[in-house]
Amino acid sequence: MIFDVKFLSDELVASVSDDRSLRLWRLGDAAYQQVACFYGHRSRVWKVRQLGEGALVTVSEDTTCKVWEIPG
Amino acid sequence: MYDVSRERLIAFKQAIFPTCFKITNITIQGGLIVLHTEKSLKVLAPDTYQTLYDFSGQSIDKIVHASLSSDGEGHQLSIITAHNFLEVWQLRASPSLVRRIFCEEECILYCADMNSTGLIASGTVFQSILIWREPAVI
Repeated sequence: MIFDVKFLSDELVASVSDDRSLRLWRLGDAAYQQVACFYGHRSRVWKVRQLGEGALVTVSEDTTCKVWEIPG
Repeated sequence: MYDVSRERLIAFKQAIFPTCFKITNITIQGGLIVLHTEKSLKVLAPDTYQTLYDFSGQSIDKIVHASLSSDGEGHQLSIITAHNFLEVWQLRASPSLVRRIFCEEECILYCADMNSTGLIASGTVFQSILIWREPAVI
């Protein structure tokens, strides 16, 4: 299940889900393709939000928030 | 409401939705506070926290995303629902439905987002993301 999805730009989308992952999807050749997948939370991830330029924050059922650097 | 820079609670408002205790999202859009439950939504003034718009029980489906924009005379509310359709409402003294657009892919959503160009990302219960937009009116 995808618990949260967020446009970071028109071409870049972030998602979090019940598999504990944060994923980034980029538009290329008329389709969005996964360009990154991050694991670090110990439980389901509920929310993702942009945190200024170049960073994301995720909120998880493991009672932690994690800050992630977006690869350029 | 918290002042993050000073790490202080600056306002507390209770029973915004008297019949529902689970607020599913709070955002600040265009300087206004937009908060909603699954079936109700309110727009509050940022300084007094008074209700500017009460959008309760209007949609036929659960709200998973809400975007507020100014339309000159008032505000327009775009909501994406749990069954993956878009509703656009004109917010005045009482809300009126402008249009309802169904995505061709019928799926149950847990989340969605809409960007400034009207592109919609729908997060489904099947571990997929549907990217779609309202068809252009010719």
